[in-house]
Amino acid sequence: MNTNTQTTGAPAGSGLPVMRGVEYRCGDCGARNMIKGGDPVRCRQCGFRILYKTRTKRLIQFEAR
Amino acid sequence: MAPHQSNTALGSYTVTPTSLRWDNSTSPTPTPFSIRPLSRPNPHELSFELIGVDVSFANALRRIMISEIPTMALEHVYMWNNTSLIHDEVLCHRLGLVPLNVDPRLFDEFGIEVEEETGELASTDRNTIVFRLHVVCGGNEKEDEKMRRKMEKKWKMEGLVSGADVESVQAKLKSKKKRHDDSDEEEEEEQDPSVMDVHVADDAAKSAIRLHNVKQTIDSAGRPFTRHVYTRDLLWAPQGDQLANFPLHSSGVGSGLGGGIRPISEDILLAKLRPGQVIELEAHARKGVGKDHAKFSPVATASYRLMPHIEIIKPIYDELAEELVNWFEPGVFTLVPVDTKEKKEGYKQKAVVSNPYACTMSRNYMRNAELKESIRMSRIPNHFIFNVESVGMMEPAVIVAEALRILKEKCEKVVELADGALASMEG
Repeated sequence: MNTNTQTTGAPAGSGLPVMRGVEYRCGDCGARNMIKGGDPVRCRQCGFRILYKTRTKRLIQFEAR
Repeated sequence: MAPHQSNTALGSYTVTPTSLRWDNSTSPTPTPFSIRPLSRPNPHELSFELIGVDVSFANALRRIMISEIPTMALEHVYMWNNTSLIHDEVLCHRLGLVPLNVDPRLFDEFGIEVEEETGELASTDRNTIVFRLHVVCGGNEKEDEKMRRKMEKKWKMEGLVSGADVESVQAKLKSKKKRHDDSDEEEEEEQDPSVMDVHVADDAAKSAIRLHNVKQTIDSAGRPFTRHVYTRDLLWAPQGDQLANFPLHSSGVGSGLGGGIRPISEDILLAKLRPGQVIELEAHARKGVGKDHAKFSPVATASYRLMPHIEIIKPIYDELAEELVNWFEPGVFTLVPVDTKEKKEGYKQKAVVSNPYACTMSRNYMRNAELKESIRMSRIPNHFIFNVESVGMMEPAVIVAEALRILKEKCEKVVELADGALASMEG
C-alpha cells in the first residue's frame, strides 16, 4: 500500500539548511515569499505586512472520527 | 391469574387477555413464535413483525442492528495538503461519515494480521479499501475544467476509479440492457428491471436537476468561482485483486450505483474550494462496529413498537362512529352498515377496528365521555413491529439476518461458558 509516496518539489523541511528561508503567503495578494531570518516581514510584491506561513508538505495522519 | 392494570407515568397499561397467553409458565398454550415482513416502502426501509418473544430479545435485536453489525468506513486519513477553508480534522470527520457501498462480509477485520518483519498491523487487500482525493480549484470555470481533465488523465494512468468512471460504465450497461429489453418487449413487460434499478434511475434524474440548479447559483455574476468537492471526486485505488472481485460493471450491493467500491451516493458534498486551494489526501477504509463509532452503524434507525390492541366494548353508532373514524389515523377504524337487529333499533352504521397496525396509540377517543367508556386500548407485550431503515450499505433484510446471526453467536458463547463452568465445578 502506497501511503508514503510523497513527491513534491518543495523543500521537505527535515534537516535542510535554513538558507532558503521559509515560505510565506501574502495575506493580500497571495504571492509566495521566501523569508530568512532578519528579513523584513513584508510582501515583496505588494508590501502588505501580514504574511501567512504555508502548511507543511509532510504527511499528517488523522483518524476519521 | 387475573388481568391486572398498572399505572405508569405514561398512562395506564393493561394486560389484555391475549397477552396472558404470553406468560409461558402459567399458560398451557404460549403464543407461537413468528416473524413476518410487513412492508417495504423503499429499498432502504423494511418493516416486519416479531411475535411471541420476550422484550429482552426484541431489544437485543434492535441494539445489535444499531451498534454491532460490522461495516466498512473510512478510518485513517493521510493528508499531504489541505489549503481549503475546512479544517483537516473536520474534513477527516466528514470523510469518515461517508457510507461506502460495499458488502462488509467480504472483508476481514483490521488488526488481526501482523507484518512479520516490522510487527506492525498488516494492511492487505482483504482488510483495507484505499481512496484518494486530489482536487485543485482553478481560477475560473474554464481553467478548472482544463485542470480537472489533465488530472483525470493522470489518475487513469494510475488505475484509480472515480465516480464518473463507474457512472459511465453503468450508463453504458443500462443502455445496452434497454436495447435488449426493447428487442424482446413482447416476452416480458417492465417486470425485469429490479426495484433497485428504477430507484437508481430516479435518483440520477433528480440529482441532475439538483446539480443544474446548484451550478446556476454558483455562477451568478460577481461571485468568485467556487469548486464543490463531492464524493464523486474520491478516487478508489483498487488494491491486489480488489478490481477483479469488485468489477466496475457489477451491480454491487446496497443501494448505490453499483460497480467497483464507491460511496453510496456520488453527490455528498465534502468541501468547497476557492481558486488556488488544494486538497490532497489518501484515506483507508477499515471494518468496524457502531458501538465504536456511529459511522459504522448500518442503520439510520432501527426501532420497534408494541402492537396496539383495540377493543370495542360497547358498539359505536352513526355520528359518534363518524367522529371516531376522523379522530384516528386513516384506516384504524372503518364504518360498516349495521345488521338487521340493530337496524330495527334505528341505527345506520357502526365503527369497527380494521387496521390496528396504523394506530399510533393516540388517546383521542378519551375526548368524548361516551367513547371513553366504549373503547379499551392497550399494547400486546410480546408482539413487536420493527422498523429498520438502512443507510444503504446493506439491504435492510440483510441487516436483520446479520443481527440474528450475531445474537446467536453471543448465545452460543454464553452456553459454552456455562458448560465450561459446570464442567469445572463437577470435575
